Amino acid sequence: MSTALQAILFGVLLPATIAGVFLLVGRRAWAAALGIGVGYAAGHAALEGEWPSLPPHDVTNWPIYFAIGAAILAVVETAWEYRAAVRWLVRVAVACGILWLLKPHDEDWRWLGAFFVAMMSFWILLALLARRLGDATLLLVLIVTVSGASVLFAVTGSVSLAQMGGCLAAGLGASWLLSAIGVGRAIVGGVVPVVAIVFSSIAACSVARWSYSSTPWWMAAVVAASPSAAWLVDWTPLRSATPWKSAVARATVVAIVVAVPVGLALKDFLASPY
Amino acid sequence: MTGKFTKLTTTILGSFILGLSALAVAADTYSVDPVHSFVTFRIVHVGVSATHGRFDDVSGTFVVDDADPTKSTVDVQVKAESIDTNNKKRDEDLKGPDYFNVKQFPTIAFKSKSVKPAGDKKFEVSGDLTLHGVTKPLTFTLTHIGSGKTPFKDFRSGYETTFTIKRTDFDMKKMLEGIGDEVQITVAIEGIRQDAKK
Repeated sequence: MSTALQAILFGVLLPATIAGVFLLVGRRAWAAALGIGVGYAAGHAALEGEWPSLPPHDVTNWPIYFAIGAAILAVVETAWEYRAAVRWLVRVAVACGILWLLKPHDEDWRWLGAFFVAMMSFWILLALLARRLGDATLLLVLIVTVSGASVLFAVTGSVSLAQMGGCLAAGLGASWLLSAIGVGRAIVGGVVPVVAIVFSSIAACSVARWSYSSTPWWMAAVVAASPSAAWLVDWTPLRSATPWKSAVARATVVAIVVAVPVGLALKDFLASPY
Repeated sequence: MTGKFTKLTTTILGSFILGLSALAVAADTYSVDPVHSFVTFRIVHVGVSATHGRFDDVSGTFVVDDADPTKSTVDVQVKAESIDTNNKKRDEDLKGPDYFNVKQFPTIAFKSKSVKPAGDKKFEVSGDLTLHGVTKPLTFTLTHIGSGKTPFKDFRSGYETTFTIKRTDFDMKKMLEGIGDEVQITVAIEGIRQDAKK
């Protein structure tokens, strides 16, 4: 099977189908979380050609296990209303665990701290957006961000990481489509932990310091921060537009932010082909 | 009588010690000279041509036992990060997670388990090759290029081998359509003798 066909079948259709089936059956936040998490894990493993051992041979296969763990965490978070402080303490512990498993053996604490701050900032950003934006809008914004990251990873040197981003974006895409036609309500509470964990772990692998993928750290940071641009629409007349127009406007602003690092990386890629 | 006995004992012991010394020095340890050692590779690109590359950081030791070649050993390490294919962008990709994943697997190593004579100046070397964190048995024919004193006022010995591996055997499975599975590797090492026999 060709690499392109594999990417479409395993990297897009499989995670999208799994995410869609879970959401169609469950129609709640927990179903969206399980669908996107399990869909991602299945797609990533299918692209690898096997279910990786535990611990995985390559650290870049950890996100398979992180996705399942994130889905379980999201199910717990949506099933039980426990105090926000406890919720964030658990999230901090999860972030520490993930970074510890991903970090190279010779990493120093300053960089580990920087990655931790970046990961928690991304999680907080998504949690804040989830409170402000509706399902369809946030999912659309996340699709733009994750797809942009996928392109960025591809043009800065890693097909594997690009495909991982594609798996996550495909699950988000299926959830967004179903959400847009009214299947599932208030699902972003389940989506946020999964995206925060899986996207952060892929992004951590993309930076040269950690896996020697040659994505400049600042480009990964700009793409990760891009969902915050959705707020800019609040300062325009589109703030009070119909939900659809507002969603498209927010996604467009995010896409413009994402386009800057992706465009620069693409320019560099095209300038030195091999 | 006692004096003669003491003399005889001393002579026998002396001969024994000399004999042992001769055996001990029969095996010479060499350290790999990184300046005159090369690890190069060749891999087919999109089915139409061969791309060549090299690793610039080679180190290790080998022991040569002229009296009993089966006691010879080879222990060579290569820093995966030193890959050089004459294109910076391609080198960065090769160091990344799709291929060598050098942050996680920084060293490529070969350690021999057996060495057998295999004809004039040739040896069959078997051992373990560790690449991308995967260790597999490997056997190749090593050719002795030459040995001798050099203008650097030391004693050197050089060997060369070419063998083929499949990268998928070492869990490097990406982009098989464009980049071949079989990798032909040539190792040419020059060692500087480490003992006092200069």
